[in-house]
Amino acid sequence: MDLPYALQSAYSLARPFLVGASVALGNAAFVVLFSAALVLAVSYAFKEQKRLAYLLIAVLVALAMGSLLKILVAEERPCLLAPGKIECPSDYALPSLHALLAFTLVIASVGNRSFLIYLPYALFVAFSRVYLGVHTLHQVEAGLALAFLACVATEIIWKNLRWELPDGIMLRHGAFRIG
Amino acid sequence: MDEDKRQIVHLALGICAIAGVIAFGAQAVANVAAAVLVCGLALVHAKLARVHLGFFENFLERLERP
Repeated sequence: MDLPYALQSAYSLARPFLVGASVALGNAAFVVLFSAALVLAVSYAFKEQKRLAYLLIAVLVALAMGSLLKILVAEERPCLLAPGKIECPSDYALPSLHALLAFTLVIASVGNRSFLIYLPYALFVAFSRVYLGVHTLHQVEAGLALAFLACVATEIIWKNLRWELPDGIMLRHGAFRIG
Repeated sequence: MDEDKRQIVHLALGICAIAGVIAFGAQAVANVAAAVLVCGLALVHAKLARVHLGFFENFLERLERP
């Protein structure tokens, strides 16, 4: 069996799952509920509940920054030019809020056990947005880049409120050494 | 790495990014930067997990148990 044929076979087997999961994650209500359930389940499973408030603030900061940047940049979606696999959303495209929020969870979880759950989830969310045709690759990458900024902003807000950073937040702005 | 060296590294990365955009285009540099960021996160996680969670030590202990 040559490799391209094997890849094609694997893709044809995985395609129904890819399409189904991508379309489901394309629904805003579903992705919010699913992500919230995932975060709660993972946090309790790995005993990382103390980080939940920080994660919530980080996600809200990321959402605010992403929404503002969307309005400022006002880049149209690719599905307006070439139809995607789902109905084209009416808002602007850059950055991808799905990718931004998912990667915010990833960055806030570096060094914790939950990272290994969030990273594949965020990568799949990013893939699904491009796969559905509602974002281009660089819009998803902008979401990844902005997620770092959102985490730094959250940390600054957290420190200005004089709250103590939770133990699990290990990737910190201004930390000269890791580990 | 102290603060001075860290700032020099950041400056060098910025200059390399600008040179990359001029030479290869913004899209190519964005793709590379995204890949580097994701791989970097995974590497930093591996290091922090080894230090703080003792992932590999726990794994070896489990292997050694009868």
